[in-house]
Amino acid sequence: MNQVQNNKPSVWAKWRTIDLVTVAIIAVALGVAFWGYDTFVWPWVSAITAGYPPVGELQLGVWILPAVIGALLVRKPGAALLAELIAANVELLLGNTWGPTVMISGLCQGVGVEVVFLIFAYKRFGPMVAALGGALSALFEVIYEFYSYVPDYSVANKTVYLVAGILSGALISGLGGWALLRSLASTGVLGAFAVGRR
Amino acid sequence: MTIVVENLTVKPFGADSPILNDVSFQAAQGQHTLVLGPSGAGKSTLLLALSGALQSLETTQIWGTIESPAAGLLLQNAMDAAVGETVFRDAAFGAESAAIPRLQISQLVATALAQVAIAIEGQRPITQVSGGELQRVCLAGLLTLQPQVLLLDEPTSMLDDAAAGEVRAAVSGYLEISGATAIIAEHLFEPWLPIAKQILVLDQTGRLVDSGATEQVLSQQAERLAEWGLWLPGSHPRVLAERIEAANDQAQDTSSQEPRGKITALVGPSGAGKSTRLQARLSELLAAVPATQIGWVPQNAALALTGNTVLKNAPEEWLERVRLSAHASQQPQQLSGGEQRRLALAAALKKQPRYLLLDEPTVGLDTKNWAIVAGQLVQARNAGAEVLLATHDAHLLPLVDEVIRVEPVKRLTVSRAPHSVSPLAVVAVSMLLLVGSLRFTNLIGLGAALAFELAIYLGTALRLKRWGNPKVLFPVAIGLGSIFLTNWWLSSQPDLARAAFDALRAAYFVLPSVLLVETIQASVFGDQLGQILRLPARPVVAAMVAIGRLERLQSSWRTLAIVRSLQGLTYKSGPMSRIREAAAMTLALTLDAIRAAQTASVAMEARGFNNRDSAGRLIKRTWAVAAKWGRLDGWLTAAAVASLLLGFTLGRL
Repeated sequence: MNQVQNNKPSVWAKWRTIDLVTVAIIAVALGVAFWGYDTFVWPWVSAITAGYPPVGELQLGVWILPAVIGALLVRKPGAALLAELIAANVELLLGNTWGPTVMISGLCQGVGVEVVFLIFAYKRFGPMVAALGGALSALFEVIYEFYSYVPDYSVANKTVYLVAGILSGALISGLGGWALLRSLASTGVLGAFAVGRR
Repeated sequence: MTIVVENLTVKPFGADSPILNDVSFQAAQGQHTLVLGPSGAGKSTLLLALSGALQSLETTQIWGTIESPAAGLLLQNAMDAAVGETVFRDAAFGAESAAIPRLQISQLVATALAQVAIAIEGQRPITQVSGGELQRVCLAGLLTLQPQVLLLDEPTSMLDDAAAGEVRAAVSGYLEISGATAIIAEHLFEPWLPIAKQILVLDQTGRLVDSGATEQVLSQQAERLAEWGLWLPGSHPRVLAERIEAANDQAQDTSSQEPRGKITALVGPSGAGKSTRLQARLSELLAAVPATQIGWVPQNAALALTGNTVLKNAPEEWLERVRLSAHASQQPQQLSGGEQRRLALAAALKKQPRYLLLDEPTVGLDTKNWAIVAGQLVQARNAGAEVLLATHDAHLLPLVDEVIRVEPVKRLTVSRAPHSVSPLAVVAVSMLLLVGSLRFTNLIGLGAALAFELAIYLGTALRLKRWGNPKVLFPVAIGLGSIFLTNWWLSSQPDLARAAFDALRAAYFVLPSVLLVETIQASVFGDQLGQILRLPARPVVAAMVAIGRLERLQSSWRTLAIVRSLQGLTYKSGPMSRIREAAAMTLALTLDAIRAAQTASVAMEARGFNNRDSAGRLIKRTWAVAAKWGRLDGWLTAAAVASLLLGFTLGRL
């Protein structure tokens, strides 16, 4: 029984079951969606990426969606990180090119979004904050990629890489994530969450 | 101990009216109680409140008081309610939540599985057991905690008669030996009457309108219950025949004609592969005839509703036929499950398809809606359609022209290679190599480290005769080639050696996973994260449950894709239409995920996921399965470190 007493209240104690489970399952669903784009989106994207990888970073925001949606939905510390790590795990399960290093991407991306919501003390959840979160997340990810995958790009190419990534992070994951959540809220299925109550 | 409920009112956040309205009743020990009422009367909510799960879910406002001994809640769809990857893990979840030590859990689970007559090895994945068996596994999970109250929410409505009988037998067996009290909500309630001592009747507004001894309430309320469309004992065939006639009369034109089409039913035990057969037929048809000639209602009917209002899914005329005109302007998500099913049917019928395929079209419908759906099937047949349905509903069989029995395929045996690298080791090694390799400065160090790594990992793979996932070899090769080429020609001073260094470095940190990892088992990873890294248990467990939904979300995605192509909604061409398509599919899948999350949360709450001690602090979960860290894991991690050290040393020379 001492175990129970020693159990320090953690940030997770404030999470309802439905918060944890909804964030987790949405992250899995988004992982599945990315896998499903295979037939009609990725062929185009990879054609562009193969031609000039820096512009290929324009799709980066898609991978950051889980973190932004997690944070906007649950509005609690840890949501972005949890969502992004689960989505990375799903990618790993579905078979991706870079294997378990995708977990590092997940970490960078999750932390990026988390930091922005933390700066706003988990009190602001508008489109601008979401876009900032997406942008910072993309910045972290791009820095990681600079070190691990594209260390010898010229400064000009790295700049295009960075700008494309950040734009994508802000637009696709930030504004796109915010819009996706609004559409979900408008269907009335998010009544259990603050974002779903009118 | 008696269950006492006083003035219970429940209102979801954001809703205008309560689901349960001032409900009071008592049930003495052993006074098994049936809860009856039309759909939407709050029967499930009542059971949820009695289990305590509604309170800790914190998704509703609750007034009134409930006194009840410890209760276990069994839900309708065992697959949606599953919380563990294998039979053992699923049955052990409640005991883990109650912080029971590991050794005791295995004994409790073994005893409980025997109690519900399950003789399946615990390692079997839950996707490989039938629906009826899985429901009994869930029941066993409840029995590990020896509840004094069993709350049964439509426990057999997804099951064929034989499987339903086995579930009832298991329930009755426990009630007899334990003296526990059962509270049962089930729309086909007749088989429960022999044990029911009391009936509660709730109306549409969630008010308790009658309660008392079984026979007395049944005879007093017979008229009202029939009016609501409840499945009263004995009266089915006549009621149904009348209702179908009435439904057909309203559609005038075809009732007198000789049938021109055909209705074929795929029947058999739940889990035998009826849905698979139906989908195989659907694929055949998709390849052979234009999409406009095919109508399909998937088992998860909500996925078929692509319009954002009811009217956008089916025109007025067809809404009228399935009695949904009153809901025309609502959003499909606001409809009840039964209404969604009817709307999906209308959406499939509106094209007057030559082929109509339906997966369990009558699950959970009251007699009125059952007759509407059955009537539409008959009418479609009379109009010349070939109707194929997968069903466990014996009431439908008199309407069917041909019955095909689908027998369960022989079970796969569980075979798991004894020597496999654990997920944590793979992730740790990859990260170690990635971060460590940043310190490599020249090709000599990197080359030595890479050669060493290759030797060790290839050697290990050879010895174990286990190879990684060959499917990733090609993308990895492309990826490495791309790193090489782009770091060469996108650099300011193109240098082949630098570019080769960059590509080899990436090869160095992806090789272990490419060579050694076939699949990663999420549950094994979860055990390691929780027990070895000591990450917080609840998020880890929630992630494990969510990843357990992976396959079903993939199947939802495929369903969505087929539904959209049948409705002519797929992208035409060009980037904008592809992006729109991706957005629409993502939104629809996310909606499906939210629905799945609601069910999973209830299932987890019902098994004590949120258990707290008397001071309101969360109880620390135990882990029924010990985390593994084998010799192989240690060996490969050590080899990774050694290769790094070798690289650093040689790099300095």
